[in-house]
Order: sequence, then C-alpha cells, then structure tokens
Amino acid sequence: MLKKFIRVTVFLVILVASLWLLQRLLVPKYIHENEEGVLSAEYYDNAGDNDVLFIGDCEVYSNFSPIKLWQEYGITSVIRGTPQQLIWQSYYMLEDTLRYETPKVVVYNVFSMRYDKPQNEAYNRLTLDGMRWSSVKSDAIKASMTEEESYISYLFPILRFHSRWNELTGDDLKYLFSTEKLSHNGYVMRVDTKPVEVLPEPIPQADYTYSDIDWEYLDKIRDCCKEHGITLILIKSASCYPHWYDEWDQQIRDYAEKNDLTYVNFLQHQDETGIDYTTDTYDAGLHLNLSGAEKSSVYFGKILKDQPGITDRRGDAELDAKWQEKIEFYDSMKKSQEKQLEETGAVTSFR
Amino acid sequence: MKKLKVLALTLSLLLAATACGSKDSGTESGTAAQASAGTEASKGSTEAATEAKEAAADGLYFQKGDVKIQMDAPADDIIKALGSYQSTYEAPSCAFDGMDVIYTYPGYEVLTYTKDGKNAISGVVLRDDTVSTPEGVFIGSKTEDVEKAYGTKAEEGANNLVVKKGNCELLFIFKDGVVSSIQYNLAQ
Amino acid sequence: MSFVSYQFILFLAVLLVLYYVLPRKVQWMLLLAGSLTFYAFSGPKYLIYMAVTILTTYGAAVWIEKIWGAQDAWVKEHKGISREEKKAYKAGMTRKAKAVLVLCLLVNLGILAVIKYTDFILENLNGIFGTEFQLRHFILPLGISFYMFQSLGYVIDVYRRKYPAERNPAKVALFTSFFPQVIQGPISRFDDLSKGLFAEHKFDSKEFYYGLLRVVWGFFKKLVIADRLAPVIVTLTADTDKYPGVYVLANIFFYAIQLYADFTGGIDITIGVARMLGIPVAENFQRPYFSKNIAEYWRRWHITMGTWFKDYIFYPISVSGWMLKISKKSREKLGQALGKRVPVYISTIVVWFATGIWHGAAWNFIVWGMLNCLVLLVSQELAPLYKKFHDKFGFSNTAFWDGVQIFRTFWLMGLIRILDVYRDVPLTFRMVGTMFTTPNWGAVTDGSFLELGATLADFIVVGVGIVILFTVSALAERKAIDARLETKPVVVHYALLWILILLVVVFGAYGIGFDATQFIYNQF
Repeated sequence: MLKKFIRVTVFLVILVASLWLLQRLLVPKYIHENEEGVLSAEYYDNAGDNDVLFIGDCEVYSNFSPIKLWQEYGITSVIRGTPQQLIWQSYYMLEDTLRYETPKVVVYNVFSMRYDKPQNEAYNRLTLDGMRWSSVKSDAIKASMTEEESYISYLFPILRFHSRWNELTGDDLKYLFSTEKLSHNGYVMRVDTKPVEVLPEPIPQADYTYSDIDWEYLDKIRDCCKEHGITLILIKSASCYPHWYDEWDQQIRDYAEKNDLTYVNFLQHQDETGIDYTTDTYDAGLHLNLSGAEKSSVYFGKILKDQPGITDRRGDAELDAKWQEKIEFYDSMKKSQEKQLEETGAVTSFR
Repeated sequence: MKKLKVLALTLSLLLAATACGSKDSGTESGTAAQASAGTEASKGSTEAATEAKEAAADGLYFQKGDVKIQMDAPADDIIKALGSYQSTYEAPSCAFDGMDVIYTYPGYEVLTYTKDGKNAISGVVLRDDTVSTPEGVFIGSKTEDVEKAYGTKAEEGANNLVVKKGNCELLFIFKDGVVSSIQYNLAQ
Repeated sequence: MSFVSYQFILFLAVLLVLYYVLPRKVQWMLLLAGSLTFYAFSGPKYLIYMAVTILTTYGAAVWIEKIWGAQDAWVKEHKGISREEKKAYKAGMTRKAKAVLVLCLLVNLGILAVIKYTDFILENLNGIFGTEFQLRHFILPLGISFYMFQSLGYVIDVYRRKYPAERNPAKVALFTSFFPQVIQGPISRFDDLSKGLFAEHKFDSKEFYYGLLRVVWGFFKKLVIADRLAPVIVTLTADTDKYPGVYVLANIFFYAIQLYADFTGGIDITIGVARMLGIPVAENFQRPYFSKNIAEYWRRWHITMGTWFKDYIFYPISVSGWMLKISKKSREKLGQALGKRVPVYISTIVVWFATGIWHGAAWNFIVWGMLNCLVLLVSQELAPLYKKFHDKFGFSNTAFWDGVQIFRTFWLMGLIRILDVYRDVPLTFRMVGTMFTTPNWGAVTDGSFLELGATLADFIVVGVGIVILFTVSALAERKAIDARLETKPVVVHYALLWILILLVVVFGAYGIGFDATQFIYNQF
C-alpha cells in the first residue's frame, strides 16, 4: 500500500517537474525577438524606492528616461509600460506596484483610452505573463482576456506556448532559467533616427467620446492614487502618429479640470521640450529616440520636481550607488547601439 | 390500440414542435457517428467559407479604374496596379513584426497591414469628391443618397452610418446632412 | 461538454474523487447526478427529450413485463386448458405487449423523426414539387441518436423476455444518460452495462491505471493527429474548384485518418473513463483498417451500431411473417437460386438504408448507406468466384495477399466514406472523377500542400503519429495492449503514461492558433 503511494507520488513529482521544465523551454524568452516582452517582469528588479511611476503603452517606455530624471533632478522613477497596454491593465499595474512600493507621483499616458475592449491576445501576453501572481494579476487577466483566451492558459503558459515546439531556437535553451536585462528602469533605448517627412492626414472618427469603461478605469486610477496620497498626472506623450484628436484632448482636459489633476499634452509644448521630429524619433514620429526621450524627461522633470513629496534624492549613499550602476548600464548600451549604428547603419539589437 | 398510436404520434409531434431554434451545427456533432467532431467542424467551416466567398463575390469594395480593392486582399499586387503614390507612411507595430503602411493617392488613401508575413488591405479612406464608391456615393453626397444606395437607414440623430458585409465595414460620417468622410475598414 | 476541454478534465477529476470517497452504495447515484450535469452543459432544455425517452422506455418495459407476468401466471393457473386456447390467449397477450412496445417506439422514433428529418423531407418536397415550405431548423439534442437507440434496445430486449425490466426509474435514467457514452456511444445492451453500472466499486489501481492510460491515448489520437488534420480537410473541401485531382486523393486519405483518430480517440476516452470508474463498456472498434474485405470492416468499425442494426432490424425483418411469405413467393416465381436471395437482399437494403439515414438527414448519407450495401452484396456474390480463383492460384494465405486486400479495402472504404466530407452527392462523384481527369500530381512537390492549414512540421507530427498508431494497432492485433503491459515492469507503466501526457501537452493541436474556421477566412 505504502509502496504504491510512494510510486504514485514520485510519478506525479516527475510529471509536474518535467511539465514545468518543458514550460520553461517553450515560453518565449524575448531575447532577440519581441524584446519588449521582458518589460513586464523586469519591474520587479527595479521595485522599491521609486518616487515616480509611469504607466501606459509604448509611448511611455520609449519616451522617458528615468536615468536622465535622476541625473538632472535626482528623481527616482520607474516605468511600467508595455506594448499596447490597455487602461485596465494600467490600473492593475498600479495596484500591483503598490504591493511593492508607494510612489509619490503616478504618470498615466492617456493615449490608450482609445481602446475600450480587449484587443489582441499577443499583446495581452506581453503585458500579463510577466506580472507576478496575485489577486491583482488574476483580475487583470480576467479584465483583459479576448474571447479566444482561457484563464487556465495564464496559470499554465505551456498550454498557450506549446505550439512553439517547432520554433525553438538556441535562445530557448540558453535562457531556460535566466534572461538579459533590456530596460533602464523600464525605459527602452533606441539611438537611431528616422525623421518625420510627410505625416498622413488624420482620419476622421465617427465618434470621439470615450466609452464608459475608459472613464470607469480612469476613475479607479484616480481613486487609487487619492487613497494612497499619490499625485496623479495625466499626459499625452510626444508622438505624431497615430493622430491625437482635439476631441480626445478636450475630454481629458475637462476631466483633469473637474478632478483637479495636472494634464500635460507634450504635443502642445514643443517649444519648451525642444523636441525636433527630424532628429528625435527613430520611426518617423511614432516614438522618440534617446535624444527625444531625454529632452522629454528634462522638460517633464521640471514639473515633477514641484510635486508634493518629490525631492532630489542624490546624496543618499545607497541610492547613489544603485543609480550609478544603472547609469553605467545605460551608458554601455548607448555605446553599443551607437557602434551598431556606425558599423551597420542600423540598430538591430538593443543590447 | 389505434387511438393510442394516434395519441402517441400527436404527443411526439407536440414535443418536437417545441424544439424551435436556429440552426446550430454544434449540437449535431456526435449524433452522426461518421460525421463526428472533425467533419462537424468541417461542415461549420465550409459554411463559413461559402459565406466568406459570397461576401467576397458581392461584397463591399472600393474600385479605382480597373483595380478592385477588397478588405484583407493581398496588397502588393493592388498597390502595384494603382501606380505611383504621392507619399507613404510606415508605422511599425508595437513589439511585433508587422508594418502598417498608408499609401496616399490623389483623392484617397489605401491602408495595409501585415498578416502572416504578407501585406493585406486593412482600409481605404476617401478624401475628396474626385473619387466615389462603386455605388456612386462621394464626399458631399446627401445622407438620403447613401441610404438609397445601400438600402440602410442611419439611426435617429446619429452622425454616421456603417454598412457591413462580410469582412468589410463601410463607414459614412455626416456633417450637416452631407457626407464628410468615407472609410472602408476591415471588420475586427 | 467536449471531452477534450479543461472543463471536462476538471469535472472528471471531481467526479472520480467523490466516486471513491462516498459510500459505494451511492456510486451509481453520483454517476446519475454527474451524467445529468454533464448533459445539461449542452443546454438544460435538452434534458426534456432525454426525460421523455427515459420515462417512456422505463414505463413501457415495466408494463410489458407486467403483461408477460400476467400471461405466465394465467398459464400456470390454467394448466388444464387446450392448446388452441392457450395459443389464443398467448396471442392476445403478445398483441398487448407488442402494442406497448410499438407505442414506445413510435413516441421516441417519432420525436427523432420530426426533429431530425423534417427539414430533409421539406427540402425534397420543395425541390420536387416546387412548394415553398419553410424549414424548421430544429436543433438536434446532443447524442439523441445514440442514447435513444440504446434505450429502445432495452425495451425490445424486455419484450423479447431476454431479461427482466429495471424497476428503478433512476437506474433506467442512468443507463440512458451515462455520460461517457452519451455523446457518441458505444451503444450498450442493458444486461451488459448494468452489471458494472450499478455494482459497488472498490478502487482498483490497476483498472484505474489502464483506464487512465486509455483516456490519455484517446487524447493523443484526437489532439495530436485528428485535430491537426482537420483544418487541411476543411480547406480541401471548402473550395472544390481549387483542389481537384491529387487533392481529392489526399482528402480521402486524410479523412480516413482524421475520422479514425477522432472517433476511436473519443471512444478510447469513453471506455477509459468507464474503466476508471470500474465499469466495463463494450468495444466499438477493432482496428478496422486491418480488414481484408468490407464484411470484415463492418465487423470491426462501429461494432455496437452494426450489432444493434443486426439484432433489432435485420433479424426481425428476416424472420418476420411477411418476409417468410415473400421468401416463399420469390422461390416459387424466380426459382431457388434467385428466390433465396430476395429476402437477404431486401433485409440488407433496409438495414443499410436505415444505417444511412441514422447517420444524418441528407442524401449523401443515404447514398453512402446504399453504396456500402452494394459493395457488400456484390462481394458476397463474388465470394465463390474468389474462392475458385484462390484455390487455383493458391496465394491467398500469403502476407503479400493480405497486404493487397487490406490496401484495397482501406481505399475502397475511403472512397465511399468521402461522401461524408463533400456532402453533395453529384459533387462527390465529380471530385472523385477529377482524380482521373485532372490528377494534378505536381501539387505534391511544389509546396501546395503546405498552404492548406498545416505546416511541414505539422505533417511530420501527423506522420509520426500515424506510425505510432499503426505500431500500437499492429501489436494489439496479435495481443491486447493490456496483456502485453501486464508482463512489463511497473516502471514501464508509469513511463508510458508520462510520455503520452507530455506528447499530448506539447504536440496537441489545441489552443490559440489551431482554429480550422480561422484559417478559412484567411483565404479570402
């Protein structure tokens, strides 16, 4: 009797272990493909003692440099941006962050409010898979799932990624239990330039009003910040495309006014930011490159430093050392990318 | 005995009469032994396929000269056939391999996206009255003309009308009783 | 609830725990609750149809038994009566019992006929007479063709006094609704199934293991092989203009594999689950693709359906009064040789017609049934000729000849079966014709086959899967897999289960990206 029980237990242990190993093998590593997939998980390496939290989509992880904010103002910040992060995902990112730290300021890029329903399974996975398990992650999954998705495939990603068996590369073995750092407290660096030449005409929308669910989650973000004594700042990051409609801008301005929030539309402050779309973007206006991101940060830092609770944190030995390491990683990546640019004319690899 | 038989038949007919509903190939699966799940899927899909085919055949599309532009059609040949464009704008997808491109032509724009490594049409935007839809609607047409051409009425007080057929959504935006924008979009 | 779904796995796990934890007396009641829950998943309102079948078959069986009981009692009491009187009395009682039986059959088959065949009849009327009857689009309750036939078999058996009626309606309910069987059979006999179904079951780890192994094997067949081929078959069938010739040949082959893997995989899960519950269920397939002729094929494919039609349609017709009359008349009119064939032919045609329409309310199923019938009768007629041939040339017992026969039977049955896929009868004949008129062999090498919904990797997986399937079947043909495993060390048992589970999880065609319908839309 006992023999059988032991046998079955050993069998189950081996089964679970081998499935877990297979899962590690089959999940995408995001090292040379879809690199932004590591962003969601990378936060936890930078968690703690960040006075500013940025949440939002790619406009947030491309257009702000926490390193620059530290160097110019001694402001500690972290960016929890992911590709096509939807507003409910931003809210849950905020809730998740609060399990680790309480920032003084939260910055939310309002561009993602144009989406009012789950969009794309692939982007969902980029945002959600990297989150650590908690009731927050569970709620985020339920709010984000498209019709074809199943909750259990988030619990056991092998059920989603098993089909990668014929797409496995050396990376999948090399990074079985490790990964390679990509971001700088959530900022994804690009040093190359692709200037804006001709922008397409904006396409008129049938309806510009944001849906109820957008307002519901914006309210949730607002209330969450209020509850924790956090200052919420709404922004529209500097990006020429896709088009930011005046009708959307007006609704945000009205909301900000009604709720006594600061709203910064970077597109309206081009003179102050100094952003030049012929030199400061790497994809003809969708996202800023390093130069643009730093200009953006220098400008925004002026606003941030006056927010309640924000101080110049330089001088603290531990923080100085910690951020010095980050600066070194930043500079080395910059050099590496500049070298690629010089040698090949393009930046093909982030790191 | 005859009475019983009649009663039985009526009972069964009565009961069966309650089984009203729309055709659902899903529940038939499993009853036909040979036509098990595999072919039920194929039945459902062949229905979807013929639907798609029909939609494609008499669907909504934009036409410029000889070139027919349908949603999700392979884009490369269409763009080549349309001749030289005034400008293009390339917008790479966030994170994934994929490129959305906008081709600007006199009077209209063609939008493409990448699907399974190939370029496909995702939209057409009409910009001025030098172009019109195959049904004869153009920027400046009256709302009634649109409703007549497509056989659908706009909702009370709505500023737009969407005509949906197959995988194409044709959007008309009105301003002061007149068409101000015409857009073909790939239905999500 | 589909077998290959997360819900079913959860449902099964919970059920199994309760089954072996609760007192054994209530195990069958738990199964009843579970079965009704399982069925309710497909739509609670369909339980009403099942309830009608359960109540009518329960009631009819009990009533019939009472009639026979009364008959027996009366005969016992009236020992001294004349033979004629006894005969007359018995005839009267038989009429009564038969009436109850017929009533029960009419109600149930009537419901089935109306739901399943109304649209078919109306369509044909509209087509022939130009009428414009509106189609009713009735929804077919899940498994109705299976569970109804299973229950009707029970009533007929009670009428034939094979075994006593079940007095507990809840037990009849379980027999009808037993969840592993309700979707696609096997069609069980009450005396066989009830032995295990209502018994008390102690947990037997060996039975549990073999049941579980069989379930995982079924998942392997369904998910790794069948579901991987499904999109390809859908593509080939949807656009018949684009895929003639060699594509049709491929479709025949793929469908043969896909249907086999899907159907037998489902049956494996059925029998495996039942075995995990300690309940033996009749086998439904016996490696039918090893058949050397069509008669053997139909003894190995969908066995319980074949035996049901044989026992409840073929035999009753063959031995019925009017068939004997016909037989006598035809022997008189046509002579012995032809005459004796008439009853056999009639019965066979009726059975195959019934088998055809049982599968579905469409002409392709009827034609399918008739083709099977034709081939069967022809091969029966040719049998003496074949024998002469083989006696003369004497290679009938060689492995080579066996191979030829198996090959021939596989393709012949595949050819007939393709009616299932192309559905439209004239279209099917036309497509088969293109195999000879426009073979289009180039498609095999120019990469066209990789545009059908499966990549090269997918085809390799299917290929390996077929090899595994073939090997296991060939082994089982000589000696049952269970018996083979019995002699192997325990480690092998665990290793086999372990590897199968891993193969299903990694190589199964499930989840995002494996949707046959999606692929079709991509073509336009």
